[in-house]
Amino acid sequence: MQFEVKEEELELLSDKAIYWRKHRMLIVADLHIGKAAHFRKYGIQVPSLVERNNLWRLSGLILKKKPKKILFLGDLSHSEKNAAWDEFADFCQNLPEVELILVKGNHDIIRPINFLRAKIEVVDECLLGPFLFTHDRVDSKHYNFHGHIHPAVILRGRGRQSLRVPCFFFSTQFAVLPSFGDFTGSFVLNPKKGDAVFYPGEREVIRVF
Amino acid sequence: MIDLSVAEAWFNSRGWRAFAFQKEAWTACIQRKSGLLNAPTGSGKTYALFAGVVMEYLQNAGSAKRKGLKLIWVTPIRALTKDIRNACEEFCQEIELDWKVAVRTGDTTPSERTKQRKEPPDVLITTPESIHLLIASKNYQRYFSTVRFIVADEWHELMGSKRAVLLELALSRLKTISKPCIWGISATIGNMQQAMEVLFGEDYEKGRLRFIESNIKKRIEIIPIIPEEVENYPWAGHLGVKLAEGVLPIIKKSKTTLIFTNTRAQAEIWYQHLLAIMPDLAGLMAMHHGSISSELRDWVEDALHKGVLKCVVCTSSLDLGVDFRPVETIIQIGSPKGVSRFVQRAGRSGHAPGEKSVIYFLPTNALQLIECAALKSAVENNDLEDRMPYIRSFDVLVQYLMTLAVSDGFQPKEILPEIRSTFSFKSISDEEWAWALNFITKGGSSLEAYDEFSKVEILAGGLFKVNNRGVAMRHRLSIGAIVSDAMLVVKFQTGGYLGSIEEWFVSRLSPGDTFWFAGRPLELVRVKEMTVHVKISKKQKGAVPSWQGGRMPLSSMLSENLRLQIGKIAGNQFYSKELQAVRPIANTQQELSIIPKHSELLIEKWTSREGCHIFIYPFEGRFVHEGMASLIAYRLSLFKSLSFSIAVNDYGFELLSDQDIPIENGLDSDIFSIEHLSEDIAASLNQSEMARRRFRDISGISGLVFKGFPGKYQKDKHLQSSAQLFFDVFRDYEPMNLLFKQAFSEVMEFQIEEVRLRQALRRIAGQKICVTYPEKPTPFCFPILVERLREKMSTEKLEDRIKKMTAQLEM
Repeated sequence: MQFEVKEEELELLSDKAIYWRKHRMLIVADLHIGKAAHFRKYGIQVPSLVERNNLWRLSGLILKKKPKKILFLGDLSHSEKNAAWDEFADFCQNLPEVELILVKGNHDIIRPINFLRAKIEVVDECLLGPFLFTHDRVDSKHYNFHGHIHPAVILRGRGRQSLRVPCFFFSTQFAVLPSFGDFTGSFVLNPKKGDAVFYPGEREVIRVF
Repeated sequence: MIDLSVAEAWFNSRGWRAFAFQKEAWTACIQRKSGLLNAPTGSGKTYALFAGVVMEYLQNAGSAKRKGLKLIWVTPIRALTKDIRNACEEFCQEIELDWKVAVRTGDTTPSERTKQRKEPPDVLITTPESIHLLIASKNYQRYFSTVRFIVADEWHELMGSKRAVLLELALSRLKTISKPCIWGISATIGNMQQAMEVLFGEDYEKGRLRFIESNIKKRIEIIPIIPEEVENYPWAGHLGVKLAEGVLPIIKKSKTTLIFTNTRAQAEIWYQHLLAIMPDLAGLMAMHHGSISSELRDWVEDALHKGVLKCVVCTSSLDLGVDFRPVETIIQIGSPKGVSRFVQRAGRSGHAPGEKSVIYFLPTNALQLIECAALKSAVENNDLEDRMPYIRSFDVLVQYLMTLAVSDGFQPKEILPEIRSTFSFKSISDEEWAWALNFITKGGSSLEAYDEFSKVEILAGGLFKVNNRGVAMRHRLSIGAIVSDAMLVVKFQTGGYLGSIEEWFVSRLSPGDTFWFAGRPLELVRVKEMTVHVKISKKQKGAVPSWQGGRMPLSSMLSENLRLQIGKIAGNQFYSKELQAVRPIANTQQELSIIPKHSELLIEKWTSREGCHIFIYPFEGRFVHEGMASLIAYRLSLFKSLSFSIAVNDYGFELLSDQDIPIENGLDSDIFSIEHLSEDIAASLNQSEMARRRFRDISGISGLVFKGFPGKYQKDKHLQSSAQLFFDVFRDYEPMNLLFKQAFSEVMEFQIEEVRLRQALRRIAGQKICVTYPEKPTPFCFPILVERLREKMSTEKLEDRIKKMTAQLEM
């Protein structure tokens, strides 16, 4: 689904990512790499396939869109460095054609050397065109793209139907990306007049507000 | 000849005479038998066993008399512990036996616990959770090695919950350690024999267990509280405060009155309201429920004993055991939902043998008037409910295995036979056992090479043990089968502890807001970590916290009696005062629709702006309706893809859809059929969210979701997650996980009650189905229509549904 913000053409993808064709840049938020492994290390039985699926989806996106750049909007890693992170780092090293940039998030507490080894450039924020990319929302004169909160929205229909689904959320001042990771919770946002909200469905992205 | 002189002399010294059942119990104890004592509260059941235990010790222990724990007395609720302790201590003192009696519950201070560990008391009064905490500590085998008796008090109450599974597992361990005699004490329930089977497991089949009945029957008089003008009786509602005037004369004329409500929120509201309409009660009225601090509860219980209170508003926290002699009158607000509970509550009054118990019943809505008539006939016929035991609760099993692993470790080949000897796990297969061991050592089905999963280690020699202190600490903090939402502690700014409250309620308040708690208006000052700081508010109006989990279904016994009463109304037989009162509403129902005869099933179809509503009234209780609603919704959606919103109450259920519901087609092809029932239920379950809700408890008990305890802030934020997330990832990545599957089987057994559902459908097969098309909501459907808690079921594709929906504009 194409959506225009500040006269820039963006493609919203079913895989909870945004592709900005002009810069051949893929934007994803909150992968929380190593979250399942972190839980397992502390004796909590999360199926470890959860971890793998993130990677498969990301590589699928790369094959499909062939981006030059991938911008991670924070919380790329979940906690301490672990085997799942190592696997992700291997994966990154094998992407020589792609520039990887991480806007640092509150969960990104592993030592900087680990990002370096994975060929990931770490920044506090990233200004590109009319957009300021950060992990959490900031006050800015620029239009702010961020992640962090794992946005969801509650939909209602006739017959007292209701559903809570993850979403892309665009206000007039900022935009929030859904979390890319599978094993992450969500936070409900209430849209106001002038906002645009999209549901990343399995086959298509649907505008719901 | 068995010598009962010690107890008999003590009874004589008090001017009492021992009942036959007490002598029978003493003899059985001295002979070191195990068994079940069927006796109501206030019958002297504590002395029947305690005196027996003491005499057995005096006569048999001989040279084995030594220090150490001799008797474990397990009770389901903390309110009972003090009473039992007093009774035991009094007895020991007067026969000059220097036994030390101690209480250990969630309220016991850490220093007291340490003392109990170092110097074990002779008698320990405790809860199932606390026994597991003891098993979770080092050298627990030595601690328990001297135990001669274990008593499971109020066993009928434990039996219907997972706490019974906890106790079954603990008993299986203690039986190996010291071969104690085991006694259950139970009020009369429908499945008395099964109660024994669950408590004793494998030993039940071996026989040789004693069953002792007290044969004390109490007469119960039920008096409905009905206002003069029944025309304005509310059609729906559970609070009933508008009818509060009716209870004032009853409180006035009685020495002490207990007012039972069904939920804690209702108790708070009634307390507040009674104080407003009868200000003289200030200082003479108190409140008692499970979320109030133990100091406050102790104070209320003491005051009840002393007879200084005129009235106490309470919940099931005062249902059991405790005998307050000054209590003369009982008032039940709203439907008690079950015959046994009602009888239990009635028994709080009229203690002297032969005296009758009087209970007033205040129906909070018109249909509860019919329930009142149903209750009367059920009590008269002594239609007591069964308590359904939990079986194959793998969440409790993995918790127990962890408990063993954090203390001294365990050898699977020694523990498995013990586990198989319990009622709950007698059918556990080798594969399921292997799964459980694999779950705690390898974290499930994964075969990942890089996996760093660590929890239980297998040491040389095959001992399963936890060595990681963090894992052990988190486990000890989360022992217990009672799971609630994250609880926050409520404290005065100046320091006084008031009780605990569910997190989701607090999250809706801002500093400065007023809410009612423990009978006082409180102003929220701030929430810091896991503590809510408050001060007394000057405002009288404020929100009342509601605690989840107060929704009991109408029991099968009560529902059958209810159907009979409705049949009477249909046949114009308004014989009792309650049914007379229902008459105006019955007439309205008759005008708009019909009142079904006992041989009829009523279905109402009505279209509103919201969509198409179908109301079906099997009068089978909330749980059966939940199952039937999703089954019928599923079968209807086979005609075309539909999304439903489902509401249920104890009388019937509603299916609401944005499109027309083809109920007529459905009836033509027999949607109430019992053919393919299991397959259709399974299919409908996958479309609904019932299993997901069941999984909340399971994930907490099995240690997947660690919430910490009130007052203990969870430091490790990176391990935070929710039951919802786990449900999703198991569904997507590990659907054969036994905990995930358990959620579905629990829904089948406890939520839907498949057996009852099958019986209900069989009954419906013999009924005439009457479909009416009322022009507006009828008295029958109105309470369901306004029900806000709704289940969802859909066979439409998610993306198709979303295209019809929009996000709500922020208000």
